[in-house]
Amino acid sequence: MNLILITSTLLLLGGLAAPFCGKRDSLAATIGMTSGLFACAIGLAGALALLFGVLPPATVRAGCLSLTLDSLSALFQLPVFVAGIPAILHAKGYLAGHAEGRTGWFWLFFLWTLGAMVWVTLARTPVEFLVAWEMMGMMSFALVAFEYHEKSTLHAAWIYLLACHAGAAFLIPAFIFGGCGIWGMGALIAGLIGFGLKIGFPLLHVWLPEAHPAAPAPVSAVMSGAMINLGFYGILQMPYATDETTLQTLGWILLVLGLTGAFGGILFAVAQRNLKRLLAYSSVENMGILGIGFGLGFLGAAYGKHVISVTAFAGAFLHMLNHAALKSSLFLGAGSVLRSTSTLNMDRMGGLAKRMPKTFLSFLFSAISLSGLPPFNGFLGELLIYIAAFLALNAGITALTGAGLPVLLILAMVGGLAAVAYVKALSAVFLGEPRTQAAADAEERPFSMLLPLLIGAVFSFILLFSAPVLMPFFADLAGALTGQAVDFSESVVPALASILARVALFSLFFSATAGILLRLRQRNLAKNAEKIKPTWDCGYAEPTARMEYTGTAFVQPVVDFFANFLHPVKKVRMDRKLFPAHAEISVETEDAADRTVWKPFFHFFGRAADKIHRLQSGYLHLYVLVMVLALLAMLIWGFYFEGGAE
Amino acid sequence: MDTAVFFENFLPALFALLLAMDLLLAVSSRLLHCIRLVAFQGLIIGLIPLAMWQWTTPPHTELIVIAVLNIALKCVLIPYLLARTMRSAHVCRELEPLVGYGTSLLIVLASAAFSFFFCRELPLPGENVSFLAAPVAFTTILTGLFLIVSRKKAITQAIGFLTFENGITAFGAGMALEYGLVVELGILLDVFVLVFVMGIAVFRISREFQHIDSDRLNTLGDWSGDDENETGMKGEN
Repeated sequence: MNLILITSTLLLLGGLAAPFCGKRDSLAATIGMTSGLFACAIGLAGALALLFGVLPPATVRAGCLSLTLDSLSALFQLPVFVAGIPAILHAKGYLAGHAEGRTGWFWLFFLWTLGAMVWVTLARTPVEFLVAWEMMGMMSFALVAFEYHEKSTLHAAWIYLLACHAGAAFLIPAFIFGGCGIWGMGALIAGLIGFGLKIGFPLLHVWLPEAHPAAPAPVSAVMSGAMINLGFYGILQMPYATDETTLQTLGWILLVLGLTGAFGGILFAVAQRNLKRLLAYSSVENMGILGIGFGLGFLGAAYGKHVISVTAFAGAFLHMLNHAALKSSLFLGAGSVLRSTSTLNMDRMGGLAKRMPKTFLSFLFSAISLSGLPPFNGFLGELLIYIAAFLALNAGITALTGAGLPVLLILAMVGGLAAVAYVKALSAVFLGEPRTQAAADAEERPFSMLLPLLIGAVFSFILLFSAPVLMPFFADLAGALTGQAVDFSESVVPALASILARVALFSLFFSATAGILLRLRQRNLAKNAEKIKPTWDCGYAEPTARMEYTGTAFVQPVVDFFANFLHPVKKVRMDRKLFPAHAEISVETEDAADRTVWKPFFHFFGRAADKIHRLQSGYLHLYVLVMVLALLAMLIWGFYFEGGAE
Repeated sequence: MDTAVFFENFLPALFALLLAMDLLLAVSSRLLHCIRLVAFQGLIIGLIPLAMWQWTTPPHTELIVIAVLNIALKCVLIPYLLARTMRSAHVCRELEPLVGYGTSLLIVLASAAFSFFFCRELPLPGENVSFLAAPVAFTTILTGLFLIVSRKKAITQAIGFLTFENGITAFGAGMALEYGLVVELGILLDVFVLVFVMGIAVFRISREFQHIDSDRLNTLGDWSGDDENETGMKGEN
């Protein structure tokens, strides 16, 4: 607990000190980076110490604050530090030369965002939690708006601010009514909406694909890797009753939201051209997978199948940690690519694998892993959720079978689509020949920006091998969250742990074999002089980069297949001649929720507000008249409709 | 005549006069006339508590103080201030009201009818002084609000506010509510300050802009919509 307090203090003070450096950007960056790194390292140690039972759960009262560190908060702190450490390291290089005179402010907001996230996990009283939650939102808003010179950034920041405030608007009544113990299910739904806005449940996810591309890469990494998870933390911390009906409701809601979110998110990820927007949609998908895991967990507990419950919860927790490590690496990689090529449009890149080989390797590893493909850690969480779904299918209870079947189908489809999305990202960005001069001139980033990617990979490998060890905590947490006092340490936990251990061993074997084979190949090739030739030209005499498949072209079959769902807008501009000299095509895919729900919604309210605005004419007479009419209406209403009770 | 019987008839007469003043206020265009009407209303308001007392025993000092203050302020001082402001701003008529005088009369009559209908249903405390008290006070309140809404000159609006305030006082007196001296004085001070500020403001405004039409003072509003071309600053300068 004291370690966490040191972390918070360091983040607070480091953030406060950074802006005082004024124009000395490198000094500000050094202060921010040092304090942030120390804070995160100490915090990571504290959280791990608590999880492994070295330190007991503790409560500290400091003034009016009451901070509690228990295993659930420690678990949700892990992503903050796992995503935070590489992001802090990456930020210095990312900002260098792009934030003259404002670096100190960046570090203030950045460290305070991290601090607020830690605070959210520690707060136990509603007011304190809401203050921490809002601080997290506001600080990260400042970061999203950090590159405010661009109009699109401001637009994105505005949407993010709106989402934050809408979340608070639902959370405050949820806390008030939930705290009073009344309005049980209503408070639950309000809480789900409020936290769902942070998580990015379907319909509520619109801020993610806007804010993540606009924010600086380290910020996207932290927001996507750690912050959106905290929405689930909030949901799990809600004082819901653990009776059968509540667990069922919660389970079904989370499951349905998770299924739609996972499928819709990855589908839209496939269709994106902007690299970070693709990653943001992939976050929606991964949060959907978490929703599926938690939903199955609650459902299993509701129907008395504790094995399913524990397996699904463990899968969700594990996937959360993996997602934090992998997605932050991917966002940081995208940031490196942005700094090298000055664009995020994947159709304007290409050939970066030869120019930025180390960034490419990191991106490749994270992308494979996050697609849920076997050898790496991203597979483990999904594997557990698959196991839980199979168990549910065979549980012999109709409701659970009905829950397990769509989970299996959707998860399989999501896995395939995720592979498509990441193959698209990898091939469009890194493979082939550069499509623009900027991509051709790209250079590998300095070591300071490669180190965080390496650290992210290290975290992923640690997660891969520590997954079996983490199983008992997950089981305990699952039991506590569903109100089941069953001891799992004898039966389920060893079984799951052995599965995970076998997968980890297989991965080790696979990686070792691959490493040895690569080494052998290199040695053999070293004997013959290696020749570097242009990429295979398909038999064309004069190949140019314009003949390459672009990312958009690569996914065109998938996008067309799901056209009813995605509504891609194709714009073709071509001379109407037999041999058109000039032709271009662009495909835009607008967000479905934005297009069908939010745009009409805000359009309607905008028009209504314009009409109401006419009342604000500047004429005193009109104002008084409106007030008089309102008073009279209230008088009559109160008299005829409410007075009858007396 | 027995004093009790006299006061029994005197109170309804006072309220009836108050109602008549409301109707007259709706149709008078001359500002001086309006001021006199409001002054007369102030006199009636001052007399109501005294008339309620029945004079069988000598009244409280408080009652006398309130009555005298009411009359002094609402019947003498404030009308005097209003009249002085009017003369210094060189306006003597409300020439173009937003609602015509005939319509105004009809609206005030309608509000009176509404008040009588409404107050019959209103669950009032039993010992109210006169059956006329609540509806007439309500009509006076509505008339005051109507004057504020429908007249352009700042002075007429101040008169409207005074009428509104008279209505509230009449309601309190008619319901035999015991405000206590401090509350009464507070209300009186409020009204006095309003008129004082209005006087200064009108004087300044008329010196700057040569008019005191409050409907043309919307340039300072933050809504600069369709009517940017016809705002007051350009008016007669």
